[in-house]
Amino acid sequence: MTAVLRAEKISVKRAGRFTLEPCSLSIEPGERLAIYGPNGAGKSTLLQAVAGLVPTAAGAIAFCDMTIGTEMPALGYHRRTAAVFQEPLLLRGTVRHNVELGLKLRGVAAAERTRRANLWMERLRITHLADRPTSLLSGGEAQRTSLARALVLEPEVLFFDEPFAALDAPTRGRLLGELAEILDEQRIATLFVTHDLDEAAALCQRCLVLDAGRPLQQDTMTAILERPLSRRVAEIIGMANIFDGLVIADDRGTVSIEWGDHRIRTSLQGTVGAGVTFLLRQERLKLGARSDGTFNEVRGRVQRVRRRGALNLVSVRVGNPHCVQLWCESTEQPALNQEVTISFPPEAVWIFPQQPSRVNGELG
Amino acid sequence: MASANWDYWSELGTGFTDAVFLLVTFDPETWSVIRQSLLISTTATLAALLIGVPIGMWIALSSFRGRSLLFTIFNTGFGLPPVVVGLILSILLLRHGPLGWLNLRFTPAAMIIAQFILSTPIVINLTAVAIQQLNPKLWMQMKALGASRSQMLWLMGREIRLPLIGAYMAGFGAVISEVGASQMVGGNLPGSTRVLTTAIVMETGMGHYDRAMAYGIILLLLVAVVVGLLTWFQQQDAPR
Repeated sequence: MTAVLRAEKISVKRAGRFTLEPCSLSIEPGERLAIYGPNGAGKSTLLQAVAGLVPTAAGAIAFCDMTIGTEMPALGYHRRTAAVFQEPLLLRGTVRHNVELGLKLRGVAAAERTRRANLWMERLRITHLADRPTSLLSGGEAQRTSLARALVLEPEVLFFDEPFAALDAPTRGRLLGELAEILDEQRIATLFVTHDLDEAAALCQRCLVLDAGRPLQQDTMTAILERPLSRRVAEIIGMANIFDGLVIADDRGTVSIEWGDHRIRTSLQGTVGAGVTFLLRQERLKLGARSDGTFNEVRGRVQRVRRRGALNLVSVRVGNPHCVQLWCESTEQPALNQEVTISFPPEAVWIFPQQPSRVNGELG
Repeated sequence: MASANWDYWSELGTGFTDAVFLLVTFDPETWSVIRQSLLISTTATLAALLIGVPIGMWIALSSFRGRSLLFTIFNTGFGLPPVVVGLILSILLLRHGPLGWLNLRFTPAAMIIAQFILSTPIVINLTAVAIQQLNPKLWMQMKALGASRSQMLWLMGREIRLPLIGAYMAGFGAVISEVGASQMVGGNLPGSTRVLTTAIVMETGMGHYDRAMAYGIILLLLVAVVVGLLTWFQQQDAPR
């Protein structure tokens, strides 16, 4: 299937400096792509550039295989897409006036405008607010109006820039659920900017990880969570247990890594003598020894136990300065300073495909 | 001494009752002055709105070298002394002056021009400030909604309509109570360029306190209505 929207190496400069380095992305019909990253990563800049709302320094944007600005005027592009921002950005007047505004700008007849606005106000549960001035709306109601104003246009691509970031948690959860339902049903191609990984995972199939104006990884949500390309990606998506080690042996597909006083095995490839940055997958780590010899076992002392809901987050010092974090049931809570064994299969060790440059095993 | 004091107050009291009498009996001369005053000032400020709003929007939205200098020049117009405007316009409109061929001296048109010059900077400034106070992201949202350039200006004009009404009223309030320029370019001709302010000056000079007071009351009422409406609109505008 051909992409409905494609951005080729677009970049944005502000005051002579790149706020977005060349970045490419594509969205297929019905597909939802998250742009994820920490604050100041350039997520909004990327979205605004792709939406044709800020000038790009270089690169091209193609919508339905037509290049914006040459084969298709920007106004025509804007009239086939829609955007919802963090602030509702409603105009003076009633909810109905705002919901109908985009249709009015497109010259849609009054009867049709009313019909479609009614439909979408109903869908977003704001029918009872139709005649209310926007200045009297709560944050959630205003954002629902903003969503209705975008969805009523039946756009071919939807741009969301952290639409729920300013809402309280219950309102955010409800709206997120409703939006996911609507997007599933309408199958509108969507670009969704967020700094909340759960939001990205709940709504999007694919994800682009952005940091300091640079794209780091673009893949399916699952791939990014299971196979982060680099240490920075893992850090940004909030993963713990990232360590440095040295490859000391490669025995028929089983690589041994020296990590402090420990030796661990992984089924991944590595060059003997090379320093590696790797991840111990938190969800695969277990407290207690395993009898069969295939598992890695690392001993250490419990340094801290933190209750998080039904589970405990246990920090185990396994040698200076390494501290491994893992989850355990609250029923098998270890005591502080207790000596424990952490066991995990070779697959729990993930060597980042992109390694930082090193000199003689030290970080360069 | 006591009797002179009493005469003074009784004369003033008679002046006030006479003023009310002139108004309620629709004295033709009095009403002609009121009509001319409203006609001239309304026309001048409507023209100021027509020219000042686009200039104000343009100043607020564009970014070019000398923009702030231009804005400062327009803002200086805020404090433009009316008599200086009257003087310059009078010189230009003299029979042998550069605009003498227009034959506008001592006509309502000359007064409209003078009042237009005085009120336009007010409209420009208040429009520019109103636009600058809008959330800058609103423009991006309008663009994303598919607004063309002209649609966007229209939407923004609609968005600042209350400050615009305020701008109009501020301009109107300034020119209807202005006397220097009106007197100099208009000349206070009855039925034509005699307006409330010039009439008050003249009647007071001639000792006709009743008429002067009648005009004064009307002027105060007009200004009160303008300021009252302005306040009401601003209250509508206030976030609730």
